[in-house]
Parts: sequence; structure tokens; C-alpha cells
Amino acid sequence: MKPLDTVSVIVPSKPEYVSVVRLTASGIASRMGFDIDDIEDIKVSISEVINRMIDKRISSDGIRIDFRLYSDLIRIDFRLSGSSPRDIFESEEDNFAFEIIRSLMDEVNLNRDDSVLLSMIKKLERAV
Amino acid sequence: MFELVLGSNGGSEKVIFLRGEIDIYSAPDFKDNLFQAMGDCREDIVLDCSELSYIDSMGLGIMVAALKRARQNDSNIKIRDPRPNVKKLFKITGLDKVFIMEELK
Repeated sequence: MKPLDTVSVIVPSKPEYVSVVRLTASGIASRMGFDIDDIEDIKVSISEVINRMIDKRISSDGIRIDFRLYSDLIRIDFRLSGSSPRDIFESEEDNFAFEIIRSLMDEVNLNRDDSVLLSMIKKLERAV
Repeated sequence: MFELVLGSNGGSEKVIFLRGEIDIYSAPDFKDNLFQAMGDCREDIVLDCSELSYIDSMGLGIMVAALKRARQNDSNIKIRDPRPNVKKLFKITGLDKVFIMEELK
């Protein structure tokens, strides 16, 4: 299914830019109508992925994050520039981070065969 | 932005105030400042988290390392007044059972 809108961000693979992505995610999720708890979940999950990517130095050309906006959910794809996908959750510490993401997001998929390293989904639960 | 402020010593506890965000960028400063502030761990450490707006696994890992160090010296670490988003992370990681969670406010 085609998203209503897509917002893409490419940041250098450096710790000082993680907060920039968090702020971007916060703005997008807020505009979509996510509540403050869900926005915090998204912010932490994004950081956990980017932290691992920076920590393992798997991308020299930057980290690309695509925010795909649907009417009832947001899908966030993490792509690598200039590098092939690798499993970024291999150590015990990485598992700890991965479990946090799985707890906070509705769906998490590790894709090892194409340029999308990881994609995760948060569903928008509107009050009835 | 992150800031660590050492409060006044109150008897058997040393209160350390955490403010702002602890992420991959501020984590090295947090670790250095926390371990320095803890000193020789002669008293229990209270981490006042009422003004801590963000933390992720990088910060939690440092807190666990600090707890190990405290326990080696027969002291403990209390997490005081965490905000709901911070408290949630302690809960989903099970660290709310490892640290002493304290709510005064």
C-alpha cells in the first residue's frame, strides 16, 4: 500500500545527530495525532536503532530514515548508504536494545536481504 | 542537553540530580560525571530523575554499571521521581525490580 506521505532524513552517522532525528520524528508523529506516550515510544525506538548503527560503524555515508505516513500508522525504515545490511543486534547489549524496540513498537522487521536494514510500525489508535 | 548536579549530602544518602536528555551523545559525559559524583560510595546514591526528560539503553546501561559499583561498596542506588516515559523504560526492561524505585512527588 502506498503511503499518504513520505518524509526522508539523511544524517551523518554521528551521535550528535540522533537528537535531530528524534525531534523530526516527534514533529511528524505529533502532526499525525499520536499521543505523547506513543511519541516517546517512537523516539526511544528510533534512537535504539541509530545508536546500534553508529556503534557498529556500519555506514560511512550516513543513515537514511524514511518516515512513511499512512492514515492509521507510521512505518519507519532505516536504510544504509554505501554499505551492505548487517545484523546490528548480535550482542547481549544489542538484544537488550532490540527487546526495548519490540516492546514499544507494534511491529519490528529486520530485513537482511535488501537495503532496508530495519523497519518498524506504530499504529495510530484514535479515540472512538 | 544534559546536566548532572550534585545535591547536598543528607546523612546516609547522596542526592544526584539528572536534567535533560541522556542519549548516545551525552552518555560519555553522564558516565564520567556520575562516577565522579558517586565517589567512594560510602552512602546510598539517590538519582533524582524528576527533570530527566529522556533516556534510552545507553543511559540505562551506565546506571546498571553504577549500581554494580555501588553494591561492591555495600551501598545502593535509588531512582527518585522518574517521569512516566522514563519509568516505562525501567519497567519494560525489568530494571524497576533491580533498582529501588522511589516516588516522593
